[in-house]
Amino acid sequence: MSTQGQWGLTVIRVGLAAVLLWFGREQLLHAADWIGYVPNYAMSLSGLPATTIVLANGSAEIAFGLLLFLGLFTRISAFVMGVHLALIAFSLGLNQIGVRDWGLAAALFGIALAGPGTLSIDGDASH
Amino acid sequence: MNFWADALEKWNDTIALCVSDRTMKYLLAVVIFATAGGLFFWQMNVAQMPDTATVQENAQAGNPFGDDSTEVGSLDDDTNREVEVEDEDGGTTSAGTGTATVPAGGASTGSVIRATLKLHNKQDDCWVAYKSVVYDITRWLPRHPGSAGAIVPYCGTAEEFTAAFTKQHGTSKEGRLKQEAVVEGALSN
Repeated sequence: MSTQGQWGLTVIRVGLAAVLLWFGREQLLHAADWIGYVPNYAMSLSGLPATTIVLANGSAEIAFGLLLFLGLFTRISAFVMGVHLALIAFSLGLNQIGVRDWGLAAALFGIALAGPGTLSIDGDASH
Repeated sequence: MNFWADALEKWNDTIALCVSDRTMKYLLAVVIFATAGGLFFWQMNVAQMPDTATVQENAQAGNPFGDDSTEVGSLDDDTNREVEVEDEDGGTTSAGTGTATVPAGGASTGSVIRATLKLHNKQDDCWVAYKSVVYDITRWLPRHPGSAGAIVPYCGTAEEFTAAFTKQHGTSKEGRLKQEAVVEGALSN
């Protein structure tokens, strides 16, 4: 891939990481504002209250957001977050928020396929 | 431009030196997940601890649980206890036996006529009717994930709110509405 393409991947990767880190932080600090998004099947399957699910989700998004930001285990992190966002988008449906989440999921799947780009631990470190 | 190119190259070399070993990469990932786990447990503890100032304030006001609670009765020695809910006439209605949980909203057994419902049509005083039951969602509005502005146009309405709610959420959020809102009564004409 050309240098421009590598930098393009880096821009997308870092941008998606920033989104995940922001949403993760918001869910940890203001969990009560997010419990409306928790689908009923998540509570019934896990047996956990909505607040706990929100906090766990926020922690996971921060963890994977950091991995994406550093470009560490990029493909697996991007794939996992892509599936996660696709599930969220599916539960939200086709509305203002759901459609945007579909777009983010698609971008994450793109990173999972194309790789981390430049300025990444996966791409720069020798194995 | 040369300065920045050199800086980036040195950054890349530093990363390569620090994490060239696969073990170091796994270790870094473990540290990241451990940090996230620590944040999770920290916020879990924070979420379970009541705000000290609020508790003291409510205790002085004579209601240690705050305005969002409904008194459901006194504790007996048995685990199963009779749960009574106070109705708007001041009497009590038995809600059965079992482990009582204090709901976030109160409950009213009265009825609300449409003309009264229409009066509560503002963001700071918002009543809606869903499937012929009137709810006061004023306190919950600021916490609506899709923003309060999405619901305010439906304050004071019945069929319009029901239709919009059903279109947006289907029946998946019915339980959440009943949990978060204060029931004012049944809608009557």
